[in-house]
Amino acid sequence: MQPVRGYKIEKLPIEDLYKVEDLVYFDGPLLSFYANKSGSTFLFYWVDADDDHNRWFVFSVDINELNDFINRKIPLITIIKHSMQGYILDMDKNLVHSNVFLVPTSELPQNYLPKNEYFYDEELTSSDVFTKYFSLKYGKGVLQTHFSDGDSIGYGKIDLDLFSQLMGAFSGVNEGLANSFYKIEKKSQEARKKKSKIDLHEKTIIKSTFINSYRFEVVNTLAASFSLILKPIENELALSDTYTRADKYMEFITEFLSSSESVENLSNYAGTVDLGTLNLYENFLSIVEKSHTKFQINYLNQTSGCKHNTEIDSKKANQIIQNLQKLDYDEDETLILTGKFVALNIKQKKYSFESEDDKSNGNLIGEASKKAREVAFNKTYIVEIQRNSSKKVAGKKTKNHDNLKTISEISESKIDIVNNKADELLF
Amino acid sequence: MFKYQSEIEALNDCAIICPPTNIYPFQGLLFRYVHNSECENSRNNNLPVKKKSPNRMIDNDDFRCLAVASLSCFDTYEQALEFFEHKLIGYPNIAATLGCCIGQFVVNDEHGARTESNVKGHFSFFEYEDMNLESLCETITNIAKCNP
Repeated sequence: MQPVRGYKIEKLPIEDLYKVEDLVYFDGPLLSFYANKSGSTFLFYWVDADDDHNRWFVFSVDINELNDFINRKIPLITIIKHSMQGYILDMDKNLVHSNVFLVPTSELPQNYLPKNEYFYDEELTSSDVFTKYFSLKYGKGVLQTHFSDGDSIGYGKIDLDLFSQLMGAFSGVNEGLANSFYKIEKKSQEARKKKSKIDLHEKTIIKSTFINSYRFEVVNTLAASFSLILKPIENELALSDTYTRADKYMEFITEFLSSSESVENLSNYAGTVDLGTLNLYENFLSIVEKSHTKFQINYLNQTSGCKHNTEIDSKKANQIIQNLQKLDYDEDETLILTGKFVALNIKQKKYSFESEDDKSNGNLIGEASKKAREVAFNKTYIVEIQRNSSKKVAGKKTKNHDNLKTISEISESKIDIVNNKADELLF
Repeated sequence: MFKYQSEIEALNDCAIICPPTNIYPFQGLLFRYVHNSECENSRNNNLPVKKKSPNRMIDNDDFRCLAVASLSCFDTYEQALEFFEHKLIGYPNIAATLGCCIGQFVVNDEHGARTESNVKGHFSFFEYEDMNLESLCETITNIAKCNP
């Protein structure tokens, strides 16, 4: 092999390397993306071979530049030159490193460098590579929300007003769907417990501990056109082939979004997704439609193997809005809320009540209409409400009819306990 | 039985499907990169990736089956050449690892089974037991400077 001008060193001075992805592969890798536990990222670029060794140039890479390369915005030579220096590494047939040299990029032989016109030309997408990278980095699932098309979105940029509208509306849909998912999981657990004669040793699902499965924090932005990488706040340990609660939630949300493309499939959610959430979804879709945006979500948990994708463009958004308007909906449910009264009209038997995550306005009935006379606005109560939600085919908006049945005062010290109990009472 | 049956069975024992279920017997021409017979690396001609020495196979689970039991091939000479020329722009020494020639082979359905080709005309060929691809080579065309 060609001699290289550099400093011979004993071993590759990078600890705890792990492979993220082979970016270019033909009869073995030619360009591979690696990271290490300290958060640094590297490319292994194949440069040469002889009878006994393959030679690689290993260099540090900035993930935004790598993203630009995978998106075919810059050639490989640009990121190699920006690295300033790297390591030449010879690897034998047993993949043992030998002949490690620290080499300034400017000293690399010409035939160890790609031509200026070498752009990425493989099937892998930036989303494939970076959801995997961030999932491995955090050891949990990551969600990529990706916005493209439309006049207000460019490569790596988005109009702030549109972004706020889209993310605000999506956040509302997420909150609503999470509530539906919570109820499904809770019911399913209750059913399991009833069916099983032995103690399942399963921790009872309560909302306060469930919430981190669907709350996300932004960990990165990427150009592609405009992407946000988010990870669930939840810290549930991911195991191979076992989905975390956040994984299951993402499965639920992507299936719901995909199912809404047909009225038949959408109607299957009538009993589980409440009307308020459907209204929020319609609002989100109308923003997508009007702005001619394409919205994609990609979720990957590399450890558990959970992977889900879906996308909605303006045409699809229009179709789903029509589907939502065709949906006929009538649902009764019992709510147990803990909170405070904000308004009462004893004469007309009307009330307004707010809990941490719900509001209710309606009529006082039965025992509650008598008990309401003793209510103080600075005290906390646990109330039972019967809610009927309905929407008729032609009607655009849904209507909630709430009747408050029972009122019980609770002391401040018992609020946390009662909150948990209220979650359980729901079912 | 395939030529690398024991390797295939070892993967099957680890619940890896190998060969892929969609392979089918094939009769016709196939084209693949080979080293000039004067090159030391010609010892690697017509071997699966994992059998080559040295190989570039560094822990990629997605390619485990293909790497131990199949050969990379193209449908036409032109597709093989175009693919090579593109790789040459990114990896000027690519001939040192892939080979500097394109070999044309004539096979029939007793020699092996293949996968569907992708948009670039590339497919994987799984040789049957006792198969010697070398003997089915019709022509070898030099396409790049060979390593000494």
